[in-house]
Amino acid sequence: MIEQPYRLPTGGLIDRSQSVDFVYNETYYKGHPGDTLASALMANGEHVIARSFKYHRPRGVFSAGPEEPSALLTVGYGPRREPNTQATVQPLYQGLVSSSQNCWPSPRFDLGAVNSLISPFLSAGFYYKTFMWPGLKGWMQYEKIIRKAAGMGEASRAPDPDRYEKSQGFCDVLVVGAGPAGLMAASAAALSGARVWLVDEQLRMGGQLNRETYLIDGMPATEWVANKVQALEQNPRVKLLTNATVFGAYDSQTLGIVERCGADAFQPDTRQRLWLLRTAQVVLATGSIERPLVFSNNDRPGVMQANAVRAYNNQYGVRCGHKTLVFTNNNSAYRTAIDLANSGQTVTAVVDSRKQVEPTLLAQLAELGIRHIGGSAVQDVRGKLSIKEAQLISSDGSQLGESIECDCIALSGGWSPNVQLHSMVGSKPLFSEEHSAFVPGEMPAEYHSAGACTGSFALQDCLSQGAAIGTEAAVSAGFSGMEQTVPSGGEDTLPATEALWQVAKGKGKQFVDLQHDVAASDIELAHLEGYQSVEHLKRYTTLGMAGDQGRSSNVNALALMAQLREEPIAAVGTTTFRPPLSPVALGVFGGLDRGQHYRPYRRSAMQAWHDARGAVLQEVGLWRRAQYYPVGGESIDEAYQRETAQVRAKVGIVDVSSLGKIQINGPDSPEFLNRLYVNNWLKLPIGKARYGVMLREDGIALDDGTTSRWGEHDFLMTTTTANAGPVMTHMEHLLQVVWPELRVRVSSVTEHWAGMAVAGPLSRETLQGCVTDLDLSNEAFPFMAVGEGKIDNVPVRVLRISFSGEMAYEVYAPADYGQGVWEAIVRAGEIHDIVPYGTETLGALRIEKGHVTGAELDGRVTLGDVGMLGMANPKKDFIGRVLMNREGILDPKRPQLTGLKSVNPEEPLQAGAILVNTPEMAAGVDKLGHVSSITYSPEVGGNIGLGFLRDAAERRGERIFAAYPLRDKIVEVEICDPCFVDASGGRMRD
Amino acid sequence: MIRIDCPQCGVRDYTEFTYGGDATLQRPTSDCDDQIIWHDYVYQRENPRGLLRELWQHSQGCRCWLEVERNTVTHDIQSVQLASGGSVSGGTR
Amino acid sequence: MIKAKTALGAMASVQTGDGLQLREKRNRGLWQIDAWASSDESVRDKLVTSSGMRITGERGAAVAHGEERLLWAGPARYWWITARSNVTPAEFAAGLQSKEGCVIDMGHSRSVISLKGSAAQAVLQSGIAVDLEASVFKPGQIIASGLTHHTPINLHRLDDEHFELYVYRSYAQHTLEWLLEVAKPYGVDWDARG
Repeated sequence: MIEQPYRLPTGGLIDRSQSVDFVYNETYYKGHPGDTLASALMANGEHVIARSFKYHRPRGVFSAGPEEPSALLTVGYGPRREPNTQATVQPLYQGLVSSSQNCWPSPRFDLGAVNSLISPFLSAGFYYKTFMWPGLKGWMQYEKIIRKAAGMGEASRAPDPDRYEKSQGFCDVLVVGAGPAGLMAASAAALSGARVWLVDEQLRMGGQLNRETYLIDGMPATEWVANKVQALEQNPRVKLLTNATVFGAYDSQTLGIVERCGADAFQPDTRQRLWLLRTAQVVLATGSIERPLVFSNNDRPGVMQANAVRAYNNQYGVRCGHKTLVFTNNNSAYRTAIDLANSGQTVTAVVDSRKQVEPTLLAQLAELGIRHIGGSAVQDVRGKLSIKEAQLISSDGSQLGESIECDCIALSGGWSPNVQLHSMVGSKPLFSEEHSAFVPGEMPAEYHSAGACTGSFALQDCLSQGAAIGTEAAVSAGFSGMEQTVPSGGEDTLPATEALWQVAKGKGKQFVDLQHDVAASDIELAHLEGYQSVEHLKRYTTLGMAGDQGRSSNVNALALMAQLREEPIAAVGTTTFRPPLSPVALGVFGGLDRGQHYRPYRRSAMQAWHDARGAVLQEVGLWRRAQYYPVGGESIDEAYQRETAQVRAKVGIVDVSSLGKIQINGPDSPEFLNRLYVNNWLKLPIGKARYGVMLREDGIALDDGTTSRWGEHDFLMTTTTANAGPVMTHMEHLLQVVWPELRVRVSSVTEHWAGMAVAGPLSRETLQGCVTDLDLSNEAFPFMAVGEGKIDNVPVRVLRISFSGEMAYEVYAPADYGQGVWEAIVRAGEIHDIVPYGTETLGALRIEKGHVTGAELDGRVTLGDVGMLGMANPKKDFIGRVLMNREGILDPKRPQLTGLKSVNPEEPLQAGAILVNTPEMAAGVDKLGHVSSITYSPEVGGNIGLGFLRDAAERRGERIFAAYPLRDKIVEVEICDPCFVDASGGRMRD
Repeated sequence: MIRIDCPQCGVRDYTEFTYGGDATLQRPTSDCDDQIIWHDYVYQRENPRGLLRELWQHSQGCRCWLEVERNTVTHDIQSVQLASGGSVSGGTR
Repeated sequence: MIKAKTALGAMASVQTGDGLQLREKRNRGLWQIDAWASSDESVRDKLVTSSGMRITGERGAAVAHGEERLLWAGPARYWWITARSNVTPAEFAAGLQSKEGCVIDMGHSRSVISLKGSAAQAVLQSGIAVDLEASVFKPGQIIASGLTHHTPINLHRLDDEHFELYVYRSYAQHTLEWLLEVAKPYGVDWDARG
């Protein structure tokens, strides 16, 4: 067995001095550095490497690039297994492991091919028409079977172990595509001093030049490319990326780029990198894709793009067959015949559908002894796992021609410019009859096009256009354009394409979309059934929806539909291209922001103390607050009930650092607070705190909090944890947009102060045991007093405010001293049996007191609903003053804040339960209100809750039901006062 | 990805900003008691296809409120200025 | 005697190379000075005199003087960074009338991470959506932006390869963990001792 039987003895850009070992279907093979997996497999004579999606037809390599629809393999193994990898873009590396997919037991013999037998039933739209009986239940059964049979390749279910990175990029000019036009554009822009990014999808720069035998300035084009790249590499203001796809173009000239930096190793340091690039100008030099021709069995292994056949020949030193037939409707494919012949291969014929052909080309063929058959087309292909012969027919379909023996057919149906990125920025592609293709339409000012993607197919045109457009882009970006010499690309024949959208039908399917197995007959069926618009065609047949996004099939499909509709192609149009242009791994969008880095985890200054004490933490926004401190294996219920009881009996301490604290300063700050809150603020004495509620402009409650006065023009506002940001934004809006004449400054100091609340009948004694320089006696420091003192060497602020309803103080210490101060208070509290408590207990205590929080002030609730209407001063202006008096807001029938006690004390309530009069949970039952907060109350000795209920005050003492249909629960409750503990508030004020 | 040219900080991704709604609204004066006028200010909006003057706050930057003229169809931004009108925000006078 | 415990003091040191050197700046006070448009210039003049550091009113200006800093923090807003024991800011505040401006002690609200090394710019660039190229974001400038869109930050560039990153104290540990992760390919030197 000859090693690499299809490798040519010389030629190619591969490194023949080294060999690369790789595995395909559990067998070892050899290739060379510079190979792709596709070129290496073909070099080794593996031509049937896949089975198609629906019909399981044998497939080989079709192209040499990212438009590949057939040669999809699974590369890698274990958690790194990547299905549906295009073999044509996968760089070969030492130790690469690959396998075919979607076939069993092998691609050469696949039991799945049975699908081909029932293919008439698998036509377009078959999902919508079949599996209808017996209704939804029937579908669920079919679905299980289909799920096993469908799909391409199998993904690993293990977590992705690779490293993906993200970064932000900035430049003046982005050039997409490093073919002749792109290289010239990047050089021109760089010459003018702009910061340039040059990005190419392929493994090396040069684009089409790597595949051809052009000479530029007398040297081989690949050498010219190498020189250009080297010059660009040496420019510190130029960034070059290969094997990188610009997958999306978005607003304001931002683009997404995925750099597949780790594709050439099994365990790379970094697998892929995402760049979100922001640029001033974009040059799209994205080139064109060679279209196939549509004829029977045009998907057989060995039917390939003409430019791919010469790519394998010129770039990889691989022959695709022994007897190659070229079938074309344009001039470019002649280069394949010529290049193959020049490397000693047999070209059986060039079959050209056109009747008239460039005489110089005919002469070249004649010189090489290659047969030319004009006015003809390939109608059918015989052979299944490989081509045996091609059946010809006259171009007009009238007369059957001869059968020609061949094992490779090099196809060219013309060239389709890559206009996906153009389309993403709103440019509608225009159909050009001259090129038989869509070319870019009107572009936004910041976008420029150059080269083959504009329909300029001649090399010299690409070179000059690239230079001119690169300069234009740099000038648009504010740099002065520099003259750049344009090299000589020699004479080049234009394609002179004559459209041949469909050859007369033979016996087999005429494929249009190879990846999704969509044939011309499916397009005809769609048209017949009324799905004639291009958007319907796409969705009904699934054409263009596979991983290749129809790169090699879209234009052929549109042309066929246009023929069926008997309209010009321009009237049919294209679908809209949307990002991503080609598949992008989800991992790269996450980058390093995964696991512990997924979201910030905000920590208070006392975090280490809570952790050491075994606190169970709860996510409150981005904070992790101690929820409870279990002792000796306690459950959550045991813990919080113990903590709650202890706070009411003795004293407890809780970390309240996460609450919003906003500093408000300036001569107009009293007036500002007065307009913000519903109650009065102008006369708040220095050294005092006051509870306030602020409304939204629509009269609904926004937030409540306590604001204290520390100086004439110096206030400290607290907000709930969740509302810290929104309230800050609200105040800044008022100060900058609504009342810019007020001299007030607001600053967030949430982070500066570590906050702790000390609550319970022994809280004063506890603090008197550690606070100095501040008289905490009831006379000197009554309820709602604030002042400054010290704990040890640390200056602290003390506020006598209570959330729990017990005698309580909040102590704020500068955060770096937070833990030290906390520890000092705990030490001082030890003799009073101080207990640390968490958010669960914080909740239980305030619910027992009927204190509202965000659970009650949920954006639907008014002052009246919570019984605070009397707090508002109607004689002054404040936000929400007018709309809070709307009929619907003042309606006494609105649900009012109420307390609820579970009739069976052991039965817990559910937050969110609906309050109803009778225990039947049926539709149409009158909803009287809902339960907003629940807890077990040690003081009451049973389960309680807060909620909102229509006529709550009048119905006190009555029993109703809290219904929770989601869990099928219904609990009988007694309506009571929302304050369950110390109704007079004496404990707080003693 | 809309980018907004903040007069204080330069061109930034829109994700650094918080949207603040229609900037063309006239807030009723403090002595206005008319519920209909207040209702219109709070709830009624034009929804133009084309240029709209709107408020954005540079919340992850200088915290300035800005008035931005944006085309609602193309996202092109015509102009950006400080909402407070002066060269400095908050209590300019 | 209660000692100051910073947000990062307890984070284990990491030594894998010298592409990026990370340190926490400690014992620094941060005083925020706010003025209004009409008083901005006069307040700034007083500030320059008190602090001994000359700042213009230019947006994004950042002055470094030994370990002291005077930074632009927004329109008519400045941050004065100096040793916590320095009483001059308090004296300056006492000399300022409410109608001119106000001074707030925010010394514990931020953790400050110093980044030095050839990889500093690239590491920061991966998470900050502002052009950090040295010719665009120059030494002596400060920006306010976000890190990975989540964490509000201020970034002061002192030199081509020397930055100081200001994050809210509660985000500090997460931020250091992120920096250590991003910097892995470059080699990182984080010494928790300071």
